[in-house]
Amino acid sequence: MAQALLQSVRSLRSTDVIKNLAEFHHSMMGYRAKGLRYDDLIPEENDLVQQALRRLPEKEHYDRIFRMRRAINLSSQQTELETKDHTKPHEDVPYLGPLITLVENEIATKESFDHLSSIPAHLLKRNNSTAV
Amino acid sequence: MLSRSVLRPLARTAQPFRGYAVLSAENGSLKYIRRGDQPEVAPLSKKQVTKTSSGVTVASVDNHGPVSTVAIVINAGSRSDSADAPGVAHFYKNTLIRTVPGDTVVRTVRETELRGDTLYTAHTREQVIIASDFLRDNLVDAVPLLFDNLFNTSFHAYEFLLHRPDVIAETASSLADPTIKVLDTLHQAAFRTGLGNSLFASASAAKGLKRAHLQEFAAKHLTADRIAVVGNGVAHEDLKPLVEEAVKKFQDRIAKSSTATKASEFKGSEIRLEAGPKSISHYAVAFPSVPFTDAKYPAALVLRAILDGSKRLKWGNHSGSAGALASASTANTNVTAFEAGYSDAGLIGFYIQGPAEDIKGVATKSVSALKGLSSKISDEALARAKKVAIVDAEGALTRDAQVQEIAKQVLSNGSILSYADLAAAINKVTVEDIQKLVKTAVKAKPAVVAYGNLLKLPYADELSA
Repeated sequence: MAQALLQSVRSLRSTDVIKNLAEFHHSMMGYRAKGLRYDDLIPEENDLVQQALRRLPEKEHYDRIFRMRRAINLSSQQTELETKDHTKPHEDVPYLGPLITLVENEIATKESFDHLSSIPAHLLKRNNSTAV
Repeated sequence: MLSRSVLRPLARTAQPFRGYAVLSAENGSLKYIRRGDQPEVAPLSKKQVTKTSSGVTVASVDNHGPVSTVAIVINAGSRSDSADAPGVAHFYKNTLIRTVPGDTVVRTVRETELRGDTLYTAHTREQVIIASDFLRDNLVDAVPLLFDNLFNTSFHAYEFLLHRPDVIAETASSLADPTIKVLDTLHQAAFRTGLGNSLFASASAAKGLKRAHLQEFAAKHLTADRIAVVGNGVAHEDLKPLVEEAVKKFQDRIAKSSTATKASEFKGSEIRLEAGPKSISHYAVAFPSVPFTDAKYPAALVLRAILDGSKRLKWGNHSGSAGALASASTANTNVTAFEAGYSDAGLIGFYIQGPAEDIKGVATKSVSALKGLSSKISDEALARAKKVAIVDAEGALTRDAQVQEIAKQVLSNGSILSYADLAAAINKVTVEDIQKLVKTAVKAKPAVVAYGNLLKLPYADELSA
């Protein structure tokens, strides 16, 4: 029953009302006016995000650095980009978030295997192969 | 000083005397008949080949042992590399195990390790293999593992870049061995493209490849008629349903038709590799032979055994004394014969290792020894060679070689030639078969590779002089 409730709450995410609200919030945040993407805002001063950044393709890395330099420049001049140059919603792709999740999962998997104290249940089930 | 009667233990006098069972004639090995758990003969292996509804071949050989190997073999290897993207097969084989969406590569590797199974990939000139060794009961886990990794469409850029230095290092370490380098180059001298493509991706080739090349290779060759699931030590009725289930899961990624491979053509030529003035020379000469699909292939195995007498004993002449090539060798040189069988071509030849000064004489004498076989082969030589061929064929069958052998036959003619069948075929080889093979072979211009001090090594046209 708790699962069903959770499912229905999660399904709200895909409704138009919530999607439009999210869009409004992202544009109100102001990072798009400086030409940044949402994933550029993720704090990178930790090992996890550094590892994820190492996995970023070279072009994405180069573009990220360009966006940050432009944003720092704009910030120091206390200006923003012209409206036509703001980051468009279709450009604001999560290029780093999925990589961070991937790295997190890998670390979590490794730790769980390192700290195993008994055989996992799904490995206890065995096939009884055809007898000789 | 105690008397002898006190030293003897008391218990001994109390119990009746027990004789040693092994010395008693009643319990001797001649009279004892063991019944029950000891089988009188080794269990015969069962072999079976079927196809799933989508056309994927499933082959199994069950030797009733405790260990199984399951391999998915694709009938495309370095032979299928295109001229614009050399080294694809090598790179592709290195990147076969990646992150499966919804899972992590760490789990794939650690769970396989936890189970005690192995997971490996390999490639040859005609095949790419992903396989796992495990104890029989882990079959339910091994088959989905292999399919999930082979048909994984997710391919991150960092996964490609992570494996590139490994590919380059593998090539460098393999080609650092002169024998491997010479034999790889020999195929190029013999076949030019196709089978002549290098087995290894050179550094420049590896740096010129992109994910798109690898995905194109997979798309072109992951077709139902090129895929064989081979099980060694598995029961067919266990393997088939698991394969059917896995194929159904990925059926949109398995194309139906496939592109035909270009036929091989033997065109002998010469390639010379400089190795410095003080190096040991390696000199390989190859003539065309029959493919392994040919009915006369056992004759090629026997021919190699007639030529080569080396490595049978720890002591004695390096090149062996019983082989036909032994007469060609000198004290400092080592002459061996090799043969290679592919699906539409074969090679037979000899390989000389030694100081550069001796090579010309040894090579010339070896060629005439080979040509001499077309006129005279003694009965003892034939009998000895058949035995050697049978023993060597069995000795070459390591766990992964067995799976490759089964896959080779199943993908080319749909049936499995067991080792016993091969031995029977070798026994049926006649002198005429071998002489016919020799005559066809020496008619062609040989493929020659010279490695060492090139100023001293002979050219190919100096050999028959």
